[in-house]
Amino acid sequence: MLTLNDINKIYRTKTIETCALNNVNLHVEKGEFLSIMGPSGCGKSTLLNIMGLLDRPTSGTVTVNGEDVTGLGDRELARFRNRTFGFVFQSFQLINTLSVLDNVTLPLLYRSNPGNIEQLAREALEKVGLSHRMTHKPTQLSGGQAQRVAIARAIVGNPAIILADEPCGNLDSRMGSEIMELLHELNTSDGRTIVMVTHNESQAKETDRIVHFFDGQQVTL
Amino acid sequence: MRTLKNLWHQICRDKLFTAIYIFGTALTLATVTVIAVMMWNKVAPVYPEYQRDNTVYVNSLKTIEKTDNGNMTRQGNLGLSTIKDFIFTLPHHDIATAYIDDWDNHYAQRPDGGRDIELRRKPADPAFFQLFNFKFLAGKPWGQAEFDSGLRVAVLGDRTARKIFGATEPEQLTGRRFTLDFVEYTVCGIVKEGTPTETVSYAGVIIPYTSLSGFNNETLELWGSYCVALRTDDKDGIRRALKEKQERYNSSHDDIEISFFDQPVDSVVLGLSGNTSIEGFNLTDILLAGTASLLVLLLVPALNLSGIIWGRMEGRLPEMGVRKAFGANRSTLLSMVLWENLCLTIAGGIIGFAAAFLMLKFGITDLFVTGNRADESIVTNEMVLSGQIIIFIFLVCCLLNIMSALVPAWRSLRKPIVESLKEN
Repeated sequence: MLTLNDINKIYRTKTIETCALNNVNLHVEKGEFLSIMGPSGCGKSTLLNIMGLLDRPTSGTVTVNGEDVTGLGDRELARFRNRTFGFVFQSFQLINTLSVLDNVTLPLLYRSNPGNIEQLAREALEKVGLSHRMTHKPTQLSGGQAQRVAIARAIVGNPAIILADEPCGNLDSRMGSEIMELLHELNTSDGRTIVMVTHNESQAKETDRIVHFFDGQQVTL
Repeated sequence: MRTLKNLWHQICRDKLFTAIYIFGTALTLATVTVIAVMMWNKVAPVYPEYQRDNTVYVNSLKTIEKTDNGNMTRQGNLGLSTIKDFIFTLPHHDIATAYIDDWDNHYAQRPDGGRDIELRRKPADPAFFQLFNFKFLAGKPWGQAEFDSGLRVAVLGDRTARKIFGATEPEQLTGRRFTLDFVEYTVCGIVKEGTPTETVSYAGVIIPYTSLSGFNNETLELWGSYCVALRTDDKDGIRRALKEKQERYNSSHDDIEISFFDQPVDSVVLGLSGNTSIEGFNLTDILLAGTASLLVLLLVPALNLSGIIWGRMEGRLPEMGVRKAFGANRSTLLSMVLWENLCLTIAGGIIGFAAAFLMLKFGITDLFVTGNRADESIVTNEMVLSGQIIIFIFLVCCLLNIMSALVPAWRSLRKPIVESLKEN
């Protein structure tokens, strides 16, 4: 479903060149729950950003469903991201000025035929158990609730792949478990493909496959 | 609707920014509105000059006398004989009025012996009341008979009448007497007074020029102190006819050459040429200069507002990053930011417009009325609340919005998504 071929990512300044990813090859199957582990700064998030077309690799190709999307322009990339990916960030990345419902509708605003936006957003919020919080602002929610809203936002557009960057990193263990349960449910009952970056080994072990990273390279343990 | 909702959330989040932005915009738009109203009223059909679209003007004449010591050039208003020989005999017009463009100070003496009233005087002929559509509140204009006899009769503007006679009903003023520069006149009519921005028709008192001593005592054959306005449906035809008359005169005189320049000119040329000579007037230059002045006027506030927007966009970077991550492209977001900003600019524009209206009502027109400022300066509602002014102000709002928001919005939207998200 999602394939990375010979991905390199180099950050250059005037004096320093930092290699964040070094010749990474990875394939994610449809319906797979994959976790990426590794120490801080090893390039996990960079890899996830490249997978989700939020960042461009210095070299290499990203293929989604057989389509090479590496060279797409801003407009096409945006459209592709909107249809294909749902993102869950460690720090939730909710827009504090908007209500919970408006935050969830966000991906649908950028579709040409989104359907009944509010209805779809309500359904997504029901799925994560937060339909009673629709009119609240993100600042009025607990961390776990905020991450549930972020998950509702990620799934509202029915994307094929959910990319979660340390989704439980800012949550206590109880809330973290709730979020993991939710992700597993999305994977098993909805058949969604999920790629998750995590530090937590026990959470990673619950997934179908673990990929380890060290210094920008995929390693085998 | 969603843009308005977003905007409302932004306003609630950042009240200080909103207040500063709207105040800054309002200040700029108030200034632009005042200037636009003053300029517009020089060319638009407004009371009592409703026929400006069909009116042309001949104000000046240049002569070049060929003497033994070289050529001597003179320029000035027209003499009565010039008007009779050259202007009144032109084809293609149905009304022609001669009047004195009188910028001297004149004083009316109040019947109660109070302090003299400084006012503007307009000596004219009876056709003046045909060409300019004064609204008579009482009485009627003086006619041909009074004009031919040189009777000292006067039509007063209502504000001037109140100053001279106090708060008296207009109907009770006809037939009453007052002295103008210590010469007694009888009031025959009271009109709704125009505004000093209308330099052709405006006066506190309109009198027959024949009532002035020495009205036809012209020192030189061709010159005097008169101007002419004509109503015509064929501006080019009347211009050609005057040109032909000028050429005929010049070909039959060896010692003197006359020039009416490109007169008769229409109200746009007359209004916009200001105090400069009509000779060499170029509308394109005036419009270019006006546009350049407007841009310069907008530049400073645009730069200030741009700085404020820059700061706000930095604060909104994570939001833009999230929107981009979920499928918004740069142009969609740019358009969203510009629309949001336009709403704020229009809010500032509405406040600025209201402020300009009050400023104009409270006499700021004095700044724009050159010469005699004998009268209180008042603009009418129709002058400010015209569709053209409102459309112009809206366009200026759009321009200011583009000038202030485009660059900061575009630059912040060019930041990579990952960097934008990191700002949170």
